[in-house]
Amino acid sequence: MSKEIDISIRYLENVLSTNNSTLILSSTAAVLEAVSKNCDTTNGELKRSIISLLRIIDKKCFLNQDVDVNQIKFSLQEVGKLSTKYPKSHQKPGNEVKVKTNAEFREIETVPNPDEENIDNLLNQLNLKKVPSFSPAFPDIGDDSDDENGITTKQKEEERAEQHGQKVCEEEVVKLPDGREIRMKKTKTVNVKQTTKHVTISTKSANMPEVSRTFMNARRGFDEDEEEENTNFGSSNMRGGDPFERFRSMLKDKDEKIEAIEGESSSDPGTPGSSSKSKTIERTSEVSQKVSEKKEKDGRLLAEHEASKLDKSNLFAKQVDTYQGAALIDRKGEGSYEESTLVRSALPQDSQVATPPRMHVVEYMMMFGDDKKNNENEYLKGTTISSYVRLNNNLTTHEEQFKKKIQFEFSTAGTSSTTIDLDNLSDLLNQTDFNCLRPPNKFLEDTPLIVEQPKAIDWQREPTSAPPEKDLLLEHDGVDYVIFREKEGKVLEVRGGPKDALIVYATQSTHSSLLYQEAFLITFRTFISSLELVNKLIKRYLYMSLADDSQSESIARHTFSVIVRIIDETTQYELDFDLITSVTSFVYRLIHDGNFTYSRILRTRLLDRIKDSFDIQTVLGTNLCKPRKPHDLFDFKSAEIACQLTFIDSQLYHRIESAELLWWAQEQNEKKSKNLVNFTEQFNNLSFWVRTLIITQGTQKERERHMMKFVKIMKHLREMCNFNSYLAILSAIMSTPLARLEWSKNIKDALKEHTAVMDTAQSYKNYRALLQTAKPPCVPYIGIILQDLTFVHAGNPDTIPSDRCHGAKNMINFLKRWNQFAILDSIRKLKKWNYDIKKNDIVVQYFNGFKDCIDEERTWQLSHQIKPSNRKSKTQA
Amino acid sequence: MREFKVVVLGSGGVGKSALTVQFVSSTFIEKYDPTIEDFYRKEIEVDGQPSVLEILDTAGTEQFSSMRDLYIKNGQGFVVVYSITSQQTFHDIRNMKEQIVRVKGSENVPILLVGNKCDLSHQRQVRSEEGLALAESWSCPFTECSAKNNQNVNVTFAEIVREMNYVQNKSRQSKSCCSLM
Ligand SMILES: Nc1nc2c(ncn2[C@@H]2O[C@H](COP(=O)(O)OP(=O)(O)O)[C@@H](O)[C@H]2O)c(=O)[nH]1
Ligand SMILES: [Mg+2]
Repeated sequence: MSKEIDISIRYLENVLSTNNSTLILSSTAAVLEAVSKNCDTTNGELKRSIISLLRIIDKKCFLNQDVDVNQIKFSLQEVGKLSTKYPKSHQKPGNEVKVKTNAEFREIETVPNPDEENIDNLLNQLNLKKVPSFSPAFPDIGDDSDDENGITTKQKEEERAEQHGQKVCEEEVVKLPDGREIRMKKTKTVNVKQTTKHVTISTKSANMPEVSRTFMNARRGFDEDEEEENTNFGSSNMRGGDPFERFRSMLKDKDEKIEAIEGESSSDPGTPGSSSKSKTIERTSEVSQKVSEKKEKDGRLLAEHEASKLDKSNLFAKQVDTYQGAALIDRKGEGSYEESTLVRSALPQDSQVATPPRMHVVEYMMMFGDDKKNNENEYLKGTTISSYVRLNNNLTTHEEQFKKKIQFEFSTAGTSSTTIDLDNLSDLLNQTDFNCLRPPNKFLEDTPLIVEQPKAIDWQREPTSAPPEKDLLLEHDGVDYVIFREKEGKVLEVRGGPKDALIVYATQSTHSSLLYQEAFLITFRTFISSLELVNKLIKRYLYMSLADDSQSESIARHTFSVIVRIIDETTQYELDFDLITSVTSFVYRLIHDGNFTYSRILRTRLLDRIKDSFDIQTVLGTNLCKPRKPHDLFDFKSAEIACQLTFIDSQLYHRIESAELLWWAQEQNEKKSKNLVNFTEQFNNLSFWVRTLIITQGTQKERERHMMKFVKIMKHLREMCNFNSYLAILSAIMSTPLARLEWSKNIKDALKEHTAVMDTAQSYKNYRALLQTAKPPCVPYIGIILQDLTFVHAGNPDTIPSDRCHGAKNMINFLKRWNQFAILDSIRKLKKWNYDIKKNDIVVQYFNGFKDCIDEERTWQLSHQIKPSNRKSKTQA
Repeated sequence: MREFKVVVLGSGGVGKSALTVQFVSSTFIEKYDPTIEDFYRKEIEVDGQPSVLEILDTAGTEQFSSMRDLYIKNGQGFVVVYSITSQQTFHDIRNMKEQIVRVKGSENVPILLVGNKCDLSHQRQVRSEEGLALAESWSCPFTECSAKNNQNVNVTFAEIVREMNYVQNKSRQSKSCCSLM
């Protein structure tokens, strides 16, 4: 038995006695990995033993059912026995792996098929993109003076600095039959640097045409260790084309020379021995761009703007090929790619609160809804959406920060998952014409929306033959069944369709847009449960993976990656018996089919999701022991209190899943939206805690001192864009028991700038305007988001009325989902930023979970004690 | 034109948002120049007198108990909704009048009690008489309606306008009679 298997099995045996589910599950994963690496995974007997081991462990640890530990031990021994019996076969490996003749130093193959997963293809997709040139739009500077004779000059400066580096390390280890090892290694490093600066000065004076001149200044640097020929890079004309082109193409090239050989040189090449070759690549790249614009008239500065953008990326990738003799028997790769972009537009400091421009109602209707004559209920109810689109826009113009991290893993079986950039959503919702539906080419009546409760399916035992009747899920392309919006003959985005068509359309590899796929993944829960969707996708996957045309394979892979993403985003509520049973049985099926890589990926993701526990006690610090000396509010600076409130808020806020918000708007089930409930409870608790602290003070002076302190804290919160705590405190201060008391002019004046924020008039116009100016990181007040989602839900039908689509019934109204997506996407964007705050245990301890407060009745009593009511009672009247 | 702010209160699920959506749906008539902030506004003519209602519907935010004072403060008239199919929702609102009165600091607040979902008569848990009795103890009008079938919805909002008119006139009268004395 291989040592690795032996160790992992013994470890699992020991861990069993701890009864710690997480530990047992991760040790099981280790066994699975060891077996898949070292054994003949095509052997049926071995696969069956692994499946029965997983079944019994999953029953115990995922589903918390009683099982006999001896049974696990027995299964485990069985796996151990069989894995010794069937070590990795040295025969020709599974299907079409290309075999190369033995060479001294084997190059990793570059196969023309772009779908093939190997390191070079992956890298080409990921990292060789050019950072486009940055051209921010500055507000137009009007010259409103009547002076026709002055000289106006406009100066524009563009600076760009690029820095790229790459280190490639290749290593080959050949194990000779006599036990000796030969190692070969080469490393190569390349660095490129370049800065360019363009200055354009345009001058204009009376009766003179405008004169523009551009100055340019460029510097380049290039160095490469382990010298390589470097002929004409420096002399290439930089005006024509991209000076980095050559560098980029060099990155694509593989270099041929072996720089260093350690050990002995390889002996007779014909000997069948095993060898492995690994290649690691590290790349970093940084491009910073700055644009500024200045306009002067007769030497007097009219305006000045500046904006900058920084793109960074980091890549690490590794691929290991294992050869038996000349045959490539296994290829594995892994790595990570991280990309971030930071955009800063320094808008003028005194820019006004961006009030949304008034819009005529007809325009508004066109923007969001269908023509009323056609359908009474169908147009969108939503001031709300437009402001979210604007919020999205604002986030784009103020400061943008994108971060993208991709972890990938592939093997000869192969999968990789990449995340995507969203196109600009506002573009889509700004399409003014929602009226035109392009009916589907083929109609398929859908089943009614509410079907019986979906159940778990045992995918290991489920046969996968094509069903007798037509099943959309087995189609390659759903485009014919989807209803689109159409404008002037141009097909715009998805407008609706049968459920299955929408699913197919979201998982096919061609035609459908990334934006749609994203919107689908965020909103599908409004028309199908995760369980039902996962079951449908598994069915689709299994069917597609049976076929051996490349399109089916590509769809299978895509479908699998969607399944993984759904599992990644399942909420705790959804991880019930049925979902876990379906997913784990799919894992067994994958093992049965010999796809160990997929089965391990899926199982790991499920495990991560189940492990993901969250302890609110830790966040609120209520698990800390009491301090010896009790603190009071004035022991801490207002700014520090605001920071710690924000620290708590942002942790709770980040836990909230889009699904919870969508569910809340539909059914307000506290079990389903646990994180949301935690967050709103925090809001209420803080508010009542503040009321208590103020009203329980014995003297007017103390009450005012506390009040003033909270006003200061609020100011900080607002600066930090924490609207959650800001409004919680504001709601306390404005609550009637406090507001009816007398307060000094000082306090009244200080409150003025805040009270208008919570004016409910015109659908919280003031607050929305404030939010639009917010610079991330930010914690929004979730109440208004919930209200907006509630009204989008209540005001839009779930299905398109059948008279609008040629009588077809039960067509999902995807326009409603686009609107939900618009709201949720801005939340998602806001969640990308994080505050840089360190937890201060002493302050958090002082908060004591905001538990120390008096109830509403008592607050009123105290208020009336301080200032008796002058309300006439009924009997007096 | 007179303008009224109406707050819709009641437990989650009683049909507040459905009610408001039904009511404002017919807003989009090109009569005057509404703006995008006008979603919750609607012009309504009651007894020959046009007025504008701005509706603050608390649907979706019922659990923000600390915000309730603020909502109530902002309102002039109150539509208190329960569902006739749920005794619980009727129970939830029994102290609502007292809360409103306390926040407004006056007994004279225009309130309307509404039992929604009256299309579901076979699931009825709250008898009309119970609703009527509560309304009497609050001395306010009472209606039953169905947001689903758009039954009595406009009537409901017309009723709150009447009530606001009535309370306004009454307080004006009582003011003038006080000053006479
Ligand atoms: N049968 C019936 N259902 C209604 C009526 N009004 C609302 N509903 C349904 O009751 C549920 C809750 O309604 P919703 O407007 O969200 O209540 P809210 O939480 O108070 O805003 C939804 O499923 C509505 O479709 C009604 O008058 N009759
Ligand atoms: Mg609701």
